[in-house]
Amino acid sequence: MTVATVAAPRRLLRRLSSKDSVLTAALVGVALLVLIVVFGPMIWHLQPNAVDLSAQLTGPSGAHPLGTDGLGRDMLARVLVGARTSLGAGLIIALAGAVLGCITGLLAGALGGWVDTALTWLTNSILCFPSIMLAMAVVMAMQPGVTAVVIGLSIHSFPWYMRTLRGEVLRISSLDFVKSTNAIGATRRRILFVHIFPHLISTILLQMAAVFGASVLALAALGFLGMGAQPPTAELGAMITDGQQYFLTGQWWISGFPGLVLLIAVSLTTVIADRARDLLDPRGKFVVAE
Amino acid sequence: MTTLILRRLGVALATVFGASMFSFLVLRKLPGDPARLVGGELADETTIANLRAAMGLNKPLPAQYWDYLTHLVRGDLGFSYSMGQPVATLVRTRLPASIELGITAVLIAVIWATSYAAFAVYRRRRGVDTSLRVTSSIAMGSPSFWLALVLILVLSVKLGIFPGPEGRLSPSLSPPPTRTGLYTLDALLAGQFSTFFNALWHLILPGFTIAVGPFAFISRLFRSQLRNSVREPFALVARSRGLTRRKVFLRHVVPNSLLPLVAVTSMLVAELMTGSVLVEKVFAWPGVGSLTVDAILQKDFSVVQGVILLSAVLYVTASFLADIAYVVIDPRVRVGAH
Repeated sequence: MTVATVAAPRRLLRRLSSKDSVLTAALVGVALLVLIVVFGPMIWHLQPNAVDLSAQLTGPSGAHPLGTDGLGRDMLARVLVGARTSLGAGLIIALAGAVLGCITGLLAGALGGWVDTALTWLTNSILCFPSIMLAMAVVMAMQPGVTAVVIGLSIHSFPWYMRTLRGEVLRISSLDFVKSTNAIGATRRRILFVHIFPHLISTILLQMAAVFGASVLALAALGFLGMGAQPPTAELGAMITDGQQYFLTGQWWISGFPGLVLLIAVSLTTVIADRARDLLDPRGKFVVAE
Repeated sequence: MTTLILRRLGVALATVFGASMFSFLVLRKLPGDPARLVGGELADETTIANLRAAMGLNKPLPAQYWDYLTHLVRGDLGFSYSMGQPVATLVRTRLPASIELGITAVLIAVIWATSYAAFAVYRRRRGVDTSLRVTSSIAMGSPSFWLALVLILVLSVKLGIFPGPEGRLSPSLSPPPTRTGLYTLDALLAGQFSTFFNALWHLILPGFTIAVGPFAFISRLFRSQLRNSVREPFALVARSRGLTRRKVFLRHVVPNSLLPLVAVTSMLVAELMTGSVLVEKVFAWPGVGSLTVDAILQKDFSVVQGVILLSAVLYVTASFLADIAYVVIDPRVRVGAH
C-alpha cells in the first residue's frame, strides 16, 4: 500500500527496472518500437502509398524487405506508417481518457454526494457497451475514419480511469497524513491537488498502459471491419483486411506483418502493465481495462 | 438478502436506462443525419424529408426518446431497409448460431485457463509458471481477427485438419431439423451423428479464436487466486490433518479459488460479443456478429441501433445474474453487505 502511494515517477521507473529483468526487457522493446515508428518512415526511402503495378504481390526481398501488396506498394513503408497511425491513435486515446477520467474521478472522489452518484451512473451506463460496439455507434453517427473511432474509444476508456481514481482518492483521503493536513487547516482544494494528486500518478500510468494496449487492438479491429482508416491511409487493421483475400492463397506477408506488429506492441504493453502492477500493488486489487 | 437483490436490480435497471439514453444520444445527436442513413446516399430531398417525418426526427428530442423507448419495450427494434425484415426477426434467426459459438468459446476458455493455471500453481516450477505468463500475455496482445486468418491458413488450408471458412456445416450436409437452433444439439436429438460431429468440428476453430481473449484474463485471475488460496490457513489446516498435497489442492484450494471467477462473467460476456463481431465474419459464420458487420458496411442504421442496445442489455443482465449468484453462493458477501 505504501509503495504505491509514495513513489515519484522517475524513482519508480528506476526501482522497477532494477527489480525485474522481464520488465526491463519489455521497456527496452517498447522504446525500440517507438524509435522505429518515429524515425523509420524518415529513413526508409519508399513511399507508403506509391503504387507500382510492375511489382504486385512480390514476396519479401532485398528491394522490399516485407514484400509488396496487391497494388505493388512497399509493405515495409506501409507497416512503418501504419504502426505510427495505430500506436499514435492508441496514445491519444489513453491520454484523452486519462484527462477526462482524472477530472471525473477527482470530482467523484472528492465531492461525493450526488456528483458521485451521477458520475458513477454515467460511467456504468457507458461501460455496459463493449468498446467496439460503442465505437461503431460513433462511426455510424459520424463518418468512418480514425477520428470517429478515436472519439468512440476515448469515451469508452475514461470510465476505467474514473473508477480506479475515485477509489484511490477515497482511500488516500482516509490516511493519517491527509487527516493531519486537514487539521493544520489546508483547504480541500490544496489537499486534493498538492497532497493527494501526486500519489495518483502511478495509478494513472498503469491504467494508461492497459488502455493503450486495449485501444490499439480495438482500433485495428475497427480498421479491419472497414470503419477505421479509409484507403489509402496505411493503418495496421485495414492492412490486414487488404491482405485477407491473398492470405489463404499464399501471399501471407500482406496481412501477416501488420498483425505481427500489433501482437508485439500490445503484448509488450501488457507485460509492462502487468509487471509494474505486481511490483506496485502486490495484492492485485487493480481494475484493468479488458 | 431480498433487499440486496432488489437494490442490485434497481441499479441494473438504472444502468440499462442510462445506456439506452446514451446510445440514443450518440446515434441521433452526433453530426450526421439518421434519415440520410436510412434513405441512402441516392435519396432525393423530398424522400429524406418524408423519412424525417416518418422517423419522428422533427419532434423535440424528449418526445423522440419516448417514442424510441415505447417501441423498445414492445420488442420493436425497428425495420432493416437493407435486408427487408424487422430487426427483431433478423436477430432472432441469427442468434442460435452465435449462442452455439459463444458456449463453445466459453467452454474452451474456462477449461483451458483453469487447468493451465492450476497446473502451473500446483507444480511450483518456474518454467511452467513463466510459460503460462508468456502465453497469456501473447493471448492478450493477439488481434483475434488476425489470429483467425493465421489459424485458417495453418490448420485448415495447409494441414487440412479443420474445415475452412464455410459456416456451421459442410456444404454437402443439410441442417438438422430445428428444435433449439443449435446444430449440435438438434443433430443429436434427431440422431444424426455424422451431422453432429461435422457441426462440432466446424465450431472448434472459431470457438478457439474467440476463447483466446477470455483465456488471457481468466488464467491470470485464477492463477493469482490459487496462489493466495494456497497460503490461506484452511490449506495449512487441511495439510496438517494429514491430507496429501494433491488432495488439499484439488478439494480445498481449487474450489475456493473458482468462486471469484463468477465476478468476471460480465467481462466474459463483453469479450464474447466483441469476439463474435470480429471472428464470425472471417469464418463466414451466420450469427449476430456478422449481421452487425454487414449492417454497418451497408449503413443500416436500425440494425446497428438495435444490436448495440441489445449488447448493453445482455451485458447488464449477465452482470446482474453474476452478482446475484455470487451473493447466493458466498455467504461472506451477504454478511459484508449489511
